[in-house]
Amino acid sequence: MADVEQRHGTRWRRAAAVAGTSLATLGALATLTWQQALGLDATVVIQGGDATFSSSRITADDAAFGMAPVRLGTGTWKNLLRAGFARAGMDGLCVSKTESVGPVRYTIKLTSGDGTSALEIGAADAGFDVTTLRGTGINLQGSTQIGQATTDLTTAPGAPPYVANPFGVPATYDGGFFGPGTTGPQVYGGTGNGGHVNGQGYTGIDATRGALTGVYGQLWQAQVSGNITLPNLRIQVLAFKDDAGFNADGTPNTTPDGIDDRSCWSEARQGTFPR
Amino acid sequence: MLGAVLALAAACVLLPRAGDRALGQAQSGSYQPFACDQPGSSNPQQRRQDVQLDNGAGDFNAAGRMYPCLAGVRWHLQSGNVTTSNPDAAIGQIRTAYGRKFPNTVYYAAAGSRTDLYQVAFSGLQFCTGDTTPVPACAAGGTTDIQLYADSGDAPQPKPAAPYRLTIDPDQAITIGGAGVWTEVLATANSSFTVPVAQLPTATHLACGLVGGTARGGFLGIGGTCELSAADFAGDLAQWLGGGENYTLLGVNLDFYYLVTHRPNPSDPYTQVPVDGSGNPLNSIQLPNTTISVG
Repeated sequence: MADVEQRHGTRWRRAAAVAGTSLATLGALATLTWQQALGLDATVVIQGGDATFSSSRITADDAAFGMAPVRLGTGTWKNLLRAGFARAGMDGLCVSKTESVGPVRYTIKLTSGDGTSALEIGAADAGFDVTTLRGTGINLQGSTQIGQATTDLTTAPGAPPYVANPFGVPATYDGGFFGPGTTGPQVYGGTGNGGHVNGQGYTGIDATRGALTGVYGQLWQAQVSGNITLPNLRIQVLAFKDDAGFNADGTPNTTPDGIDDRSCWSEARQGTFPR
Repeated sequence: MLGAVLALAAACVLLPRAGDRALGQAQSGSYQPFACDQPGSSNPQQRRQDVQLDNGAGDFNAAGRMYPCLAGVRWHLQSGNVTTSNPDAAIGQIRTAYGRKFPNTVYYAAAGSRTDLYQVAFSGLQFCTGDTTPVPACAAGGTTDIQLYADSGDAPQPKPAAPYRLTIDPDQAITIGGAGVWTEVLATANSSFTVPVAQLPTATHLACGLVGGTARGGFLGIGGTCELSAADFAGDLAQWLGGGENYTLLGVNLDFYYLVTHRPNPSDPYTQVPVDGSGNPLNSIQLPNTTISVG
């Protein structure tokens, strides 16, 4: 039954549950990905807040973007943009994350692609929490809605029935969202409608298809619940290097900006995307 | 003579129009699976909004309906200068536009509602990509000052305890809608767009004022600009004003709570999405060189 649910939409509650535990580092991601790089029921989860990603092209069916809260280790809430889709093809994928061990900083970088313009990477039931997303082209296609509550977004494949609230935004004021015995600040500033807050205030965009080119962003967490195929997977551990930054107009300069020059983010800003 | 023309035009729009009584496709748990509910109501989707779509001709009587569960967050689209008096500083074009006062109360997902929204439908909203596209009055560099964002703080409670602004910041001209795609928004009454007076019927300030717009610039009541609000555009003289016409835009200041793109005059927009001849979904919103960020 769980398999059926996975095929019908991105389920984010699993990631939310993981957030309450010790978070996986990108190193763990690397391990998982090595084990599952051949594309059988892979589940990829990264969390932390300072990862970046890029791709030459993403074509995603049943795409949605919705504001959603994530609970930080401090117990406070942070609003992020959750992007999800039922299935997608990608032309190249890069994910990087900078870590520190004592005084040593390093960046783990995962790249995949076949070097052509084909959509050689396939992923199903995927979601990304981002704070910034940039694309040379972001095309929403088919029927597009703006202004729904994030709870109302659907990221299921074409055939209904869709999964309700696939992004897992809290729909009730208390509702046990924190889990038994837990406490903390409420994600909503008030209640109403008998506690059925229904995601009010979290707005979203829902589209039949999202076609993104030259896309990169700052990634808070990501999850691929369905199958993922990563051809020519390469994982590198790079010494942190920061000799460059960027001007407001996007042109590079020589002022360090705190982001590894070889991160997916920095390379994409300079026009280099994984293929 | 001018008065006679205006009177005739006004009479024309007072003729009975097709109503919105046609029954549309029903809500479906398959397509609207989330329970947008209100405790105590026998309807498990009590707070879901029924939005009857336009038929492509300004009658707003398509059989097809959307049933969104609205976040209650105001989206803001702004470009150019709605108070300009210069009719030659185009930022884009809105095509085949119609408007009406939305006839029903609009409910948000959990609490709050409003009865003052307007429904504006159009076939395309295209900002300038060059000095002749989509209209000759565009600047050579196209339109780059487009702002699109949503503030959670504008929503009534309940809403996120930590406010956010979701910003969609395109560096180049965006396009909403296009051939084979119909777009509709639920906008506030004071949402406005400014057009050259020369494009209004009679091409006079009088025409602008007659529908409630604000005329600026020009000479002796001729030329200049006219700022039209959504309420002006959906008023009694709306059809005369330009139902179905294309307008050069000099400025747009749009506040909306819902936007949907769909196939023209669908009987069920959830199953009949805009597609090309091969069945591929058509572009509905194009955002070139765009940064989306959360602040």
